[in-house]
Order: sequence, then structure tokens, then C-alpha cells
Amino acid sequence: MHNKSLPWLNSIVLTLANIGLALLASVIVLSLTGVDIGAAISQIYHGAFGTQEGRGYTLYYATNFIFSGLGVALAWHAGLFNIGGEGQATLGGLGVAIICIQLDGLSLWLLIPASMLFCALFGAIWAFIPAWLNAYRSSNIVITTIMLNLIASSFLVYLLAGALKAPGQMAAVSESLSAASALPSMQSVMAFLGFNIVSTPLNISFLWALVCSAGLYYYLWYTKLGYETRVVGHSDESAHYAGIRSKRIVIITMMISGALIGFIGLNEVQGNSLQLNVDFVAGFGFAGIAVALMGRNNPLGIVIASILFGALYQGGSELAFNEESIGNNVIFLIQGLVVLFCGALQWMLKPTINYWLRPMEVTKEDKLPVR
Amino acid sequence: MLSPALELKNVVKYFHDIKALDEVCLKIAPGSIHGIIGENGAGKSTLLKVAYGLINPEHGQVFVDGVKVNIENPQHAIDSGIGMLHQTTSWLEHYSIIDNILLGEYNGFFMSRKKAKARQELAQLCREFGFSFQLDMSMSQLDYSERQLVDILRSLYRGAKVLILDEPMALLSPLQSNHLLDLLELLKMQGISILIVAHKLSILHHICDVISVMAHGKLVDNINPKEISLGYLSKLMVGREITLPHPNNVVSDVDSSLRLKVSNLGIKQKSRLGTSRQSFSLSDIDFQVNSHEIVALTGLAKAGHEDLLAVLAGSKPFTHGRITVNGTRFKPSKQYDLKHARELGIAYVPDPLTGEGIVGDFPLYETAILGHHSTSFSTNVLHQKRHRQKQCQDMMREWDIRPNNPMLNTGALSGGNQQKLVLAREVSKAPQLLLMAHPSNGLDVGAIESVYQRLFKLRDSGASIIFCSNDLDEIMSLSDRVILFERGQIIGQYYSQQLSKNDLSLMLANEVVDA
Repeated sequence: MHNKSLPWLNSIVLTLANIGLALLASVIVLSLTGVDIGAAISQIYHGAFGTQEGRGYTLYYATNFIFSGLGVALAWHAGLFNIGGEGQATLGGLGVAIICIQLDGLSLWLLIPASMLFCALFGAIWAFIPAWLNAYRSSNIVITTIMLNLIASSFLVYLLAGALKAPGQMAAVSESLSAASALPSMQSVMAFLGFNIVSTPLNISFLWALVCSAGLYYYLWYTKLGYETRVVGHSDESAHYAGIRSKRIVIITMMISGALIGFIGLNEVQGNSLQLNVDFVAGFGFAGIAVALMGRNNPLGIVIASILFGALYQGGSELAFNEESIGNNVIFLIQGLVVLFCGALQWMLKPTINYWLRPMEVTKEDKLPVR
Repeated sequence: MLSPALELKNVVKYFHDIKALDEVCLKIAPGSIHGIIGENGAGKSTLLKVAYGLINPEHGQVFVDGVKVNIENPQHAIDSGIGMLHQTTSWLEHYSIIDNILLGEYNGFFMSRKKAKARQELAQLCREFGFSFQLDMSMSQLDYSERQLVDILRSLYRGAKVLILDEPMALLSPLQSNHLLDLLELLKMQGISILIVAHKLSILHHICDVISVMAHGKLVDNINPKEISLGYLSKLMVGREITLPHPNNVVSDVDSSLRLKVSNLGIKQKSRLGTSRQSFSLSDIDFQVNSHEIVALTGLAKAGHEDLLAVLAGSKPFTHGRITVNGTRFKPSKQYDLKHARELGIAYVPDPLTGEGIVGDFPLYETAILGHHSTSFSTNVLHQKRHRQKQCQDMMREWDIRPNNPMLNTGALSGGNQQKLVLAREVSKAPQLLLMAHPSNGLDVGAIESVYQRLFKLRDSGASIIFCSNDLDEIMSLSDRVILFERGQIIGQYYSQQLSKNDLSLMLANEVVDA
């Protein structure tokens, strides 16, 4: 509806301009805190891309962003605003931890599919609740998903303080998964292929995230269900006309969305920490909204946006570590500004961009012989 | 010499790289009725939208009474004395007419005093132009044609000197349509200029002082309808003479078989809270349709014929009676839905005004499979997308849907071309039973003729077609049989061949007298 008569060139320029504005605003806020901007930017860049270790961390964080971005984008295509990523990721992690502890000692070839399945299943079930309430009881999915975030987090605390609490530990953490059940790290994958890289938390979840991105692209534009999802997202009347059962689509879409976001738990728990703790999701579920907005709900765009976010996350931590005056909050600042400029003010620059790009088109037309 | 009431000069508008308006100049004399005709997608609606500020052109000026005005949005247009009627105006249903008219006019704190003054002015206008409604009536009590009159009243109250109408007669019954035309004549007498776009050439030929002909975004001719015949007018527009009614050569002595049987069908409406009275929006509907037959359903607004069509398509549930399609009998249940109906070989062209049949934001090749998408997806990734695009392009070429580019957004097409796409999609599936609501709404005469030829061909191949329409010409040209509705019931069935347009018009008018 919004982008009528907006050619694709304009829409790409518009996206880039919005991202630029968000980054510019971040720079202004940072400079107000008295930071040397040039140095800060170079520290962020160096921290994210300067070293092999930095690059590993960047991609490790990007993995989480891809999963949550894909989940938010898929729901968006069906006209649903899934802001329950935190809860779905929490449940995904819970599923992974439970299956890894229960099946400890199983061959990795069997354990990985099992943990992936449980991860997806737990995330999907958590998304099923608001989906069902929305489809059959007309509840507002924004409110239910955000409330289920709080419930999920309390539920996790309850389990970590009770049933899942590691014996002999004061902290609310689960018992550690055995090292044998960890996902293969990228270091070992590369070593298998004959390359030598340093050890980082980056693991095969990253490859799985890329597979999911390709899969989601295929799903949305090359399958019947994906087509129906997009029809439902555009118009209820057209969906009714086409004989699409919208309720069914809402539930399927939300469950796949929850499953995708649940995979954050795979990357975090089985890929890195090998332990379930209270706040392992750490805002990645929410960040999916910013990622999906920046990537224009397109899987390829989401991968690119995720790498940018991963870099900001890694570079930002590096900056926060080195500079006394800057906390980790700088990442949330940038995220917030991206949501503001790429989401809330998405069309703000449209008239300006159309105006600036117009002379080009007219002159091109003028060169043609008239009549 | 008087300066024109409204003048558009050198208007140029692009949609993407398509020139929708190409240096269009238009002058409307004060106190005249000025018609615009042209094929679907010729740029008529775009031009009207430019005049009302809904679309901002790349080039061009607007003059009102010889003074250059800057119209960037509808508020500018209203301030300059230009009013426009929309096919789909949204009203506040449960507010009174006067509140709806004054909506957005209340500025300032003491609105009650202003309202009293406004009431006087509006009452004066009502007397002057013979509007029959009370200003305190709730909007929900009015039917489509009365709402249109309220819309006109609103424009007059805002001081419109030029009134723009886009297909105002599309949804009116013949009687209502005549009423509107009388009103337009009256407005003209009062010095108000009228700019009107309509596909009914006979009406424009009758009421217009000047008719402009548009083709491919250009204004090609201004003509005086008093000097040329109606036949020549249609020739000007589509390049060939079109005879009305369209010749419908009924093939006799074919073995027709029973295709559809509807018995005792009814829809019980949910009673409002507190009332125990049951009301039916459709009741005791009994009729049959055979193969090789085109049946028209008609009646006044809310007579039930549109509801019945939606029920047959599976879009609306029914509560009583039976529907038998090709021997399979259906009771009232959720089982008979759109999807099921399609599997039985039923195709459905919904009312173009609802926009159900398309997805405005989808590229055309994706809208072209809406409803039939179950069979359009295969596992062959590269092939299937190209295949769908090619199929869509072929269909668009065959049905003359312009511009012929399946990658365009569906919403970028003109209303008539969108409707052609929906017709093309449904007809090309060779359905056994084709259901259509107002099929030619928004189509130009040339397109109508070619659509009818395809429908006749479809019928001759054994299909049954049911359509609902208020357009007498359409009913007379297209149908083999007419079923008349009134207040949710069938009041008569006639063979079109044994009926004249006049009979039909009288029968529809009599309903009003009886009611």
C-alpha cells in the first residue's frame, strides 16, 4: 500500500538513506557524550572486522540476528507483528538444554537433529499460544506475544531455581552440558576442510541460519503456503476470496516464526555456553524487529542487516570495553535508532528521494525524440 | 468571453516509465456538462484525480475561473471550488447526515452555533435541489444512491463550482440513474459545471454539452454530441462501430442438462440483541440453471440478488435449503465454501468495487493465480516463476490488458484493466459454472464487446453463467433468462428474448411503486 509508484531504485536508495540517518543520529548522540567519534568508529570497525577473532564473534552474533530477523519478517508477511522473540528464543534454549541433558552420550549425528527439532518445537509451541488466541479468539497478537515474553522469562527462572538447577551451585544455572554434546565449532569445521582459524563461539548454527534464510525465501515466493501467507498479509478479503483459511495460515506462520527465533537457543546454549542461564537471550529476540525492518523483510536483506548488527554488537562491546564512558548500551541506542528511522519513519524521506531522483528520469525521457 | 470554469493545461503524469497523461489540455465552460470518454487505461480517472489533487502531476497547471491555482491535495481543490464524488466514500455509519457533511468543518470552540447556521444553509440547498432526506437521519438508513446525493450536497455546501464524477451511474438502478441525471441538469442550470467520466456512451451523449475523447494518455478530440450520432461516438472511441444490444445468437436444440438447482434457499439473519423477530435476507429461493445458459439476476439495491450470487460462490453461508451442483447436493454447512465450489468447477468474479479478486500489492503474475494457486506451484524453482510470468503475459495479450507487463503491481493498472484481469483469470479456467457480479463495471464499450463474445463462446461450449447486474443494456445483451428479485425473494423469471428493455425497466420501476 505504502510504496505505490516507488521504483525499486528509489526503494533501495530510501533504505540506505534511512540506515544512514540512523547511523548519523547515533554518531551525534555519541559525540554529545564527549567521545572522540573518529576513534570510536575505528575501534568499532577494528573490533568487528579487524581481527580473525573479531570476525568470528561478529558472525556468531549475526547468527542470532538472522534467526530473530527471519522470524519477525515471516510473521510480518502474514500481517502479524511478532514481538515475542524473547520468549520464543528462551523456550528454544530450554528445549535444547533439556534434550541435551536427557540424551547425554548419544552420538552427535543423532543429537544435533534431535536438539534442533526440540528447539524448533519449543519455540513453535510458545508462538502457537498467541497465534491460536489471535486466530480463534481475536486477541491482539502484539500484546499477547509481549506478555508471553515475561511469562517465558519467569518460567525459566522458576525451572532454573528448581527442577533444572545444577546441584551444588548457588547461581540459577542449569547443569552443564557435556562437551561432547556441543555443536561443532566453525574452527573444527574449517580444520576439517584444511583451514586454520582461531577459536571463537562461531559454530555450525551460522550455516544453519544461512540455510534457513534460503529456505524462507523459497517458502515465501515458491510455495503455495508462502503465497497464501502473503495474500493473508495483504488483504483479508482477497484471502477469503481465494479460499485461503486465514486462521490456519496465522497459526502455521506464527509457529514457523517461533521455531526460527527459537534457534537462537541452539546457537547460544548448544553452540556456546553449554549451560542454560537466566538471561541468555539478552535482547536478541527484540533486535529481530530492527533487523527485519532494516532488511525490508527480505531474507537476503536480513542476512546483510544481521552481519551489520553483529558487527555493531561485537565492535560496540569492544568499544565499551576500551572506553570508560561508554557502556554496552550503545548497541541498544543504535538498534533503537534503526527501528525509529527504518520503521517508524520509514517513508519520511520518500518525497525527498523521489524529488531528487526525478530529474534523472525526466532528462532520460527528454533525450527520446518527441513523437 | 468568459474564462473556463476549470482548465487543465499541459498535464503530464508518469507511472513508473509509463506516460499516463501526455500534455493533456482540457477546458470546461462555466455551466456546462463536460464528458470524457476513452478506453480502459486511457487516463480518464488519472486526469480527474489530478484535477482534485489526489495525484500530483509531473507537469501542468490548473486554472479556476481563469486564475492559476496550485492544487496539491483535495483540500486545495475544495478551497478552489472543485468537488469530487467517489465510488467508495466511507461514512460514519451511525452519525447523522448533517454530522457527516460537517465532518472536518468544525473548527473553533463554539460548534453548536456554527451547526445551526450550517443547518439553515443545508436546508436551503435541499429545498433548492429537491433532496428528499432529512438532515438528522442516520447515515446507515441510506442506500447507495442516497449516499451519493449526500455526497453531492456536501460538495455544494462546501461551495463547489465544478463537480467531478467518476462513473457515478455504475451501481445505480435505471430509475436512480435517471434521478441523478435530472439533478445534474438542475445543477448545470444553477451555473455549476460538471466533469463526468462514464462508460455508458448513450447517457453521456444525451446529457453532455461537450465530450472529450482520450486515448493512450492523450486528449485526441473534443466533440459536440448534438452534431454526431451515438454510433459514431463509439466508433471514435474504439475505432469501430458497436451495435447495441450486442447480438446474442442463441444456439437452439442443444442437449442441455441440469447444472444447478437451488431449492428453498434462505439466509436467516442473526437477530439483534433484544429482538426476537427473525429476519431473512434471502428466503424461498427456488430456481434451476441448465448448461448452455446465461442467467441474469437483477433487482434494486439490497434485493438479495447479490447475496445469492455470493452464496452460490461459497463466499457467504446459507442457513436454509439446498444447493445441488452437477448432482451433488449441499445442505447448509461449512462444507460449501469457495474452495469447495472451485473444485466443483465454479468460477467467481466478485464485485470489482470490493477489490476481493485482486491483491493490489502483488505483481500481476501473482494476482493472475489468486484462487487457483493450489495447482500453480511445483518444485522446479527456476522454471515455475518464469512459467507463471509467461502464462500471465499470454493471458494479458489475449485479453488486451495494458500495459502488457506481468511484473507490474496489480494496483498500478486502471480499474477496467484490473477487472479484465479477473475476468480473464476466471474465464480461462473453462469453468462449468461462472458467477459474476457486475461483470462489465468499469469496462469500456470495446472491452465489453470482446468480453461478451468470450462469454457467449463459453456458454456455447456448454458452460452455465450466472451474473447479477443493474445495467439494463447488459442484462438484455448478455442474458438468456432474467430472474427478478425483491426484498430477498424471487418475484419473476423471464426469457430475455421475449422481453424488451422497456418491459424490464418498467418491472424494476414497479417494484418501487409497490413498495
